[in-house]
Amino acid sequence: MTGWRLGFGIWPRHLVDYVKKLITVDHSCTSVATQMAGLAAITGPMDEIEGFPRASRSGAILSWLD
Amino acid sequence: MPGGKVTFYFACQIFGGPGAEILYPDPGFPPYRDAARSSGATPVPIPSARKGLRLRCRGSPLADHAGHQRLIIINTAGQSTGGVVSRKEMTRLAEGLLKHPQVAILSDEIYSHQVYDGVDFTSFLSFFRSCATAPSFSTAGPRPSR
Repeated sequence: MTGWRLGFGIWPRHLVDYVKKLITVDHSCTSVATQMAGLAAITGPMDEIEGFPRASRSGAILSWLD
Repeated sequence: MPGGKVTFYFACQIFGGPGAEILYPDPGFPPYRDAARSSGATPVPIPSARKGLRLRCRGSPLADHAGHQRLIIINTAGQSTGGVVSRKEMTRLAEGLLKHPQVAILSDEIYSHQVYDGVDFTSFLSFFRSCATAPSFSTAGPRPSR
């Protein structure tokens, strides 16, 4: 999902209210479409993802660099 | 959040400001330095390497800057070195922070799922619940890194 700009932060509880204020004036929220795409990603099939790290490690990019 | 950058940008705004120092890994993700600078704080590079960050918590830089430091950004696995901060180094950092409670940690663990060669990954959250982390769906693949 590179380029979708979807992430999250984990904050100490005592800072959460400050972060909420910053979110309000900074970006409000991520778009609904992106949120729905993220939800589909974590609830959908993981077959492609399970193979991703192995493919990255042994795959074409590294061998090309070598 | 729209990606992982927002979390470390907010951390810099909250803990930075004129007179503060924010430590960041160098070489590393260039926006760390700019986020620190945008708050008015002084960005202080910490040398990073492929084997991971080296923080000498019982000596410099923590002790040397103790009066001005407000935030230390760590990044494991590191962009762009791929270095992973070892559990031993994390432990030293955690012990050092107990003596400097004014210093906050932003642990960017966005690449925690992209650690290879049997290297053991340690999250800073395993030491303190009171730290901020910045995972993302976009970089870690179609699922959050934690």
